[in-house]
Amino acid sequence: MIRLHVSPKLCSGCRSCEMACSYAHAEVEARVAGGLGGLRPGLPRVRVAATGTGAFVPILCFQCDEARCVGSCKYGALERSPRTGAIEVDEGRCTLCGVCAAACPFGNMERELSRRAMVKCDLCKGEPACAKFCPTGALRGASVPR
Amino acid sequence: MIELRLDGKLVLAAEGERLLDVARRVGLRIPTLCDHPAVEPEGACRLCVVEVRDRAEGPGRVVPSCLERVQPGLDVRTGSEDVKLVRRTVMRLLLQRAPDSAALRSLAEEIGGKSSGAVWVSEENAGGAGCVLCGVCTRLCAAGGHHAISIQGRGAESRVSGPGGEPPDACTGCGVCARACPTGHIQLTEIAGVRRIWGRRFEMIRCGGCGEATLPRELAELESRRLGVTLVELTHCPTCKRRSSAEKFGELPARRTREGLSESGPMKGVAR
Ligand code: SF4
Ligand code: SF4
Ligand code: FES
Repeated sequence: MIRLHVSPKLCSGCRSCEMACSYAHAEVEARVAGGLGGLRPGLPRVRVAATGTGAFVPILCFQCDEARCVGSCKYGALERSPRTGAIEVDEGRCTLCGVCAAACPFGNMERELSRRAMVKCDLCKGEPACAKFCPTGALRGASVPR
Repeated sequence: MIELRLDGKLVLAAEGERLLDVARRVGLRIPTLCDHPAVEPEGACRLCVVEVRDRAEGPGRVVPSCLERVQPGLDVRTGSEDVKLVRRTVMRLLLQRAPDSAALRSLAEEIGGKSSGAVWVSEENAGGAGCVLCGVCTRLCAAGGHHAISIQGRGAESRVSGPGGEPPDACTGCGVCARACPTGHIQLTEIAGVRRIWGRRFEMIRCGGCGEATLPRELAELESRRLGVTLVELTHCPTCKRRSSAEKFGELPARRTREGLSESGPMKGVAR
């Protein structure tokens, strides 16, 4: 199982994690008539939010043990990966009703408009890109026994 | 594990697996219209047919692969002449109901089967992207616990609507039916915080923090009761919720020292 440790005290607000996440979830777009194809970065699943006092806090899915999003989905589209421990969206089952995004108390589930999909942190299937690119160690990934 | 023959090759499948899933798992392309992973299969469109035999010889049966489960020793053919003929015929009938549906037309290109020209079209289907009665919408609506729409009437008069052909009272405006409709028949619009579908009007509740439209009021009220979460919390948008998360979890930044930050933790690659 993968755990991401977040230390808000170390966050400098550089948003490298957001950029890394976007590119880790980028999609290759086909070449279309009259234009070039290319890499379309995804919506970042980690966001750096600022507090009223000017501190920065990386906000991303806690992969809650009793996750509200999982309980809220009526179509069975949210399931925990036994390998990484991340809650993943099954896009075939997802109906885009948006109830999970409403149910998450922390704002860690969101709709990606351009791709018509619900997106959340999937721990990069086991190798969190945000942690790799965080220069201060505010985000650290660790493998933990189940 | 169950062993069966798929287009001549031996494949292994789990007990109870559908032929459609086995075929897709080994990379075969099977067209479907009424299959949706979130609901039980119904075998309504018949595009997914395959030919099966209990033994290698003998007569085959053409069956929908979304309903048929694996059997030991079954011989399955996904592209036989009989299969192609059924798919083309089915496609011709589907195209009569929805001649302009983009999804249907691209499927028709793949499997053959043209619209046979002058056909009888009901009034609702006159738009061209008609209803093919696949039932994806009604099954998903029921799965969502709403049971607002169903197939009404018989034969050529069949159509999807609320009870008695009226705008459905039980509809919550979730929009699931419209997004899943394979032909684009179900119309959903959302303009200035008002959603319209099935002849009904739904006000979108706006986020208490920033005013962004979140869920239709009817859906939000239902979910608020089901999940035991207040309407206000449920309809805060993700951005505003992250902002309150930051207040909850954030602390003042650590004091900077020459070595980096005052809290212990690796400082990686920051030149200073
Ligand atoms: S998306 Fe939200 S509710 Fe779901 S596991 Fe993550 S933090 Fe918890
Ligand atoms: S929009 Fe209405 S009819 Fe369609 S699935 Fe939702 S509740 Fe059912
Ligand atoms: S997908 Fe099998 S009958 Fe429609």
